[in-house]
Amino acid sequence: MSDTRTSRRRFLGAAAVATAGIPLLGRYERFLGGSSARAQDGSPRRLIVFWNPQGNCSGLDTDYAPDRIDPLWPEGNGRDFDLSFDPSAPTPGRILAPLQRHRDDLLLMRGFNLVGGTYTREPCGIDTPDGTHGFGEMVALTAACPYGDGSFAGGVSIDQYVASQIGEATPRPSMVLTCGGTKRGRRGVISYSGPNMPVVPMDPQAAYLSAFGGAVGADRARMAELRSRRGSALDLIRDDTARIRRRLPASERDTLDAQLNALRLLERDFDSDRVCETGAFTDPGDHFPGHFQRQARTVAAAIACDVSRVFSVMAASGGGDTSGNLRFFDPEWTTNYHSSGHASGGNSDGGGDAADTRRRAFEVMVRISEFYARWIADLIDALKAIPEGSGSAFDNTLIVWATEMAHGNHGNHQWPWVIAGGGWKFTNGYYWNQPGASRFSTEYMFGDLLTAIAQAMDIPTERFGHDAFSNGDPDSYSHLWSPGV
Amino acid sequence: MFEARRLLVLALAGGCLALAGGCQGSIVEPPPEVREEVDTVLADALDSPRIWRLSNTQYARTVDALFGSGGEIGETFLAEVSGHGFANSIDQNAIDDQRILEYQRAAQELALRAVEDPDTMARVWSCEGNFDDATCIRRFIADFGERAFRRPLLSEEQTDYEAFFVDVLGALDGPTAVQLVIETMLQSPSFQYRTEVGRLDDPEPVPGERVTLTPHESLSLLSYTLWGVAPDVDFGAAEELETREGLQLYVDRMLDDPRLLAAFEEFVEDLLDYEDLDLASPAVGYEDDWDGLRESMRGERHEFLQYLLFSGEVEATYAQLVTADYNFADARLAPLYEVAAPASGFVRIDTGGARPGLLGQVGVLAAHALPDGTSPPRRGKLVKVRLLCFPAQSPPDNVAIAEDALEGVTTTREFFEAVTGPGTCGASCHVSLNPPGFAFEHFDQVGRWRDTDRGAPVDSAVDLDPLGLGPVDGAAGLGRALAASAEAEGCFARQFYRFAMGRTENASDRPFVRDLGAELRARGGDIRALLRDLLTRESMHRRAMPEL
Repeated sequence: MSDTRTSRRRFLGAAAVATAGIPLLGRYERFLGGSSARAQDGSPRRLIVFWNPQGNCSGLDTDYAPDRIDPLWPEGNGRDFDLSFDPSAPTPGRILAPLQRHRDDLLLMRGFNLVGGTYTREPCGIDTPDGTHGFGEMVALTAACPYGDGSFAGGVSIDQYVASQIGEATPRPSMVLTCGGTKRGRRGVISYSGPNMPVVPMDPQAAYLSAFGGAVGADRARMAELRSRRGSALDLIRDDTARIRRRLPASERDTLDAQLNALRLLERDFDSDRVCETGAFTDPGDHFPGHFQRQARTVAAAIACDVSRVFSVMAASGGGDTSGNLRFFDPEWTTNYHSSGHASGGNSDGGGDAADTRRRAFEVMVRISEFYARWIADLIDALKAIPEGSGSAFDNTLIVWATEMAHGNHGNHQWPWVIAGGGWKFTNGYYWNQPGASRFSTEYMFGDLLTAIAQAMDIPTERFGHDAFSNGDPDSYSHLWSPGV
Repeated sequence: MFEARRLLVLALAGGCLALAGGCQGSIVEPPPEVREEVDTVLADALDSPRIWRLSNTQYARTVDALFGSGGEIGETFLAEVSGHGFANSIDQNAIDDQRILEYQRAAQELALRAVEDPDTMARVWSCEGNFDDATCIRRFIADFGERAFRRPLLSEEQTDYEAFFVDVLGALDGPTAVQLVIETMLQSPSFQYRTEVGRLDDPEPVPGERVTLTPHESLSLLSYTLWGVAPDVDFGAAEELETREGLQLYVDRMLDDPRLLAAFEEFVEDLLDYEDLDLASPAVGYEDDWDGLRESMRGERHEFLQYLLFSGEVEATYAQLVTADYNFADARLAPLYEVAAPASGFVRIDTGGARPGLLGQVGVLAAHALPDGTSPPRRGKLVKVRLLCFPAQSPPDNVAIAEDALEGVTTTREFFEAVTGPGTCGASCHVSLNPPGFAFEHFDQVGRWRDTDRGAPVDSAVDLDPLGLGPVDGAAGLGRALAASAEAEGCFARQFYRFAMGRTENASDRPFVRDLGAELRARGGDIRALLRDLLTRESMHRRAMPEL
């Protein structure tokens, strides 16, 4: 019963958010119960992973940077850092400046390397077909070596790992999203439900319709009847499945068993009897930032309605994608995302290599990363506007900003990771300015961070992923997070 | 002079860079075959009973056939991950959480649209508002069910669906009952999958039992393979398929139908990896209308295949695919072919034998190049792996290039010979990868003819002995060598078999596939003969339960 009351409060919160100007749409039948990570006041805990390709200009040669200033990493260390940026008197850290208003909720991490990217076969001893791009896509969230011939990751990703533990509590165990469209082929996947089991992300429209589409535009009594009949229709589907299944050899029956299993997900929707009222749909437009706005809206609405508590959001795929029409960032710029990343590091893979081209590419890459920082800052605002318990939904949310590599010219030194929120586990308002000795340094390993993320979601985990990507030494990070919490 | 760093991008892109003795690093073994061998399958049955989920494209076409529109919803589905070189892999059968939500959304949207749009409603419900008439209900469920499931409903299904309809009618209203029946059927495996399991109301098959496909299953097999779509509404044809003569007659009718083009073009799209056009960056200098150019490149392919299969002017043979001395150009492509732009549409152009059929089309040449230059390993890989069925190999990492290796290098060919040719670490692998690519060196990264590369004359004469083709001169020579090669023709048959079965062949059906290639050769490479041969063999319509 207390769950129900909590949900009604959240329902009111969602309505408040809608009137506050964040468009939340449709209606959604809520599902309650299940065991899950919860704060002391009973509020659910959530994980949002945002991942972008081409790095965030970390460790780039600043010869071509405006004023030769580091565009990503600010000055300072520990509690002492400032993200404000004045274009008239530029200082290092321009990319992160949009996050200044959330400075006290951040943990900036400079100490990891993408060990094992292109040009070094260790530790996996395998070549990925797309070099560092494929490697960074597969490894960042799994800390596992690529599977088989290197087309897909060799382990579960942190978001799906968390979803497998706490996903039962919500209609959608997780939402796997992309802002950059999807394609057939190996590229464009960061989430894995297991070794060689890619979870293909949904584009903004598919994601929105999947979460809210079925319930748009119907009155409440009719919705209840429809829900009940759709529930009984599942039996017709099960009968069909059973009739086909018995004609198949055992090896082929697994396929239909997976379907029967997935049908349970639909059943959860139909069993629910609550509706989450939200506002009207406004389309921000079909362009690069529009896709991001739509995904942000989907995530915020899904959190307000408790549709899911685990999200992975991919900005675009890394190697040679076509989603990289970057004219939004420079109207005259025609080079795609991948080639721009190379050019920003002085390695022209397609365009000319004149200094001004490199300078422009550098500027474009900085603007894209700034855009991501702004997107995350806006998402934090949206979550802070959703009342929950004695505070907001943000208080119970852990946001992780990961990237494919350090910078778009295949850099793997000072691989940037940013945490926002998750204050019950992570040190907030902190800058770990630890550039590391070299790009081969394994003193700090990102697998340890993924382990800490799992622990933050109340999942007892000693070591997440492959040993090659973690040191399993929590003491090294005691200033960043508290092991064992 | 080439930059050494750039080299890595170029070399790795080619897909193979194995190391000879004394070189650092290790060679990556080719990946194991995707599907485990089915050792119980005998020569008289090509697989075990199986189901095969509709590809996104097939879903879209099937929906269009059912409702007259709406297929575009399939374009919003999760992308497919290819395992055997084609988009329709049977290894993607499983419907997981994401996929089931997607199918639910599509089914609900299509069903709602069907009852809200008067034309579509009239198509599925023929009784004009008379929703409580038992005959009307029975007919709707039987008719729509048969078209959605591509087989008549079992009497048990008919009864259950009628009861469901009446239940919804009582609680809500007639149109909603129609809507919910439609959305339920569209979420059922009998819609989502093609089945190859025999009669659903037969007893469970015992180990070793031979299961003959029902006429309706055979009809779907033919229709999805040859037309890429669900069978016609006229299910009466199913009866014909029960005899071999009837089957042959029916297949012949399908082969003469213009719908053959769509499925064959889908096969060619994947066979020649046109998808690489979409993954690559725009060619330098063509960024502004790259989308338009790619559309025209695929348009040319469409015109070519249409002409080949249906004009009656040429024999529709394998040889034509790789040797035809004509192509098609519209206003966008005309400058690339250096011909006058037509006022509208495509015109047939004579290439004087310089461009070998599909392989000489700018779309294929551009798909396997870099934005600012050619990539002989990529074009070579197309020939070696897709047209000659050699296994693909992964390139090694951490390739070190001696700086002095690039001294005196001018052309692209010289570059690749210097870094991966004889005497280099990449030699053992590139010996069969570079030369077929060099044969195309007269065509730049968008497929325009060139006499020189970086100021030096192009040399496109190559020795294709490692591929069993002997010495050839240029792309045209390569095309002729392919046309003359039994191995190339056999590979073509093998690739079509993979496309038709959704998987790579295994030890059990390898003899069948070899025989298919030999038969194609005996029939002068006749494409329709290959399709007819494959689809009318009895084992194609029979499955065997594995022995315990």
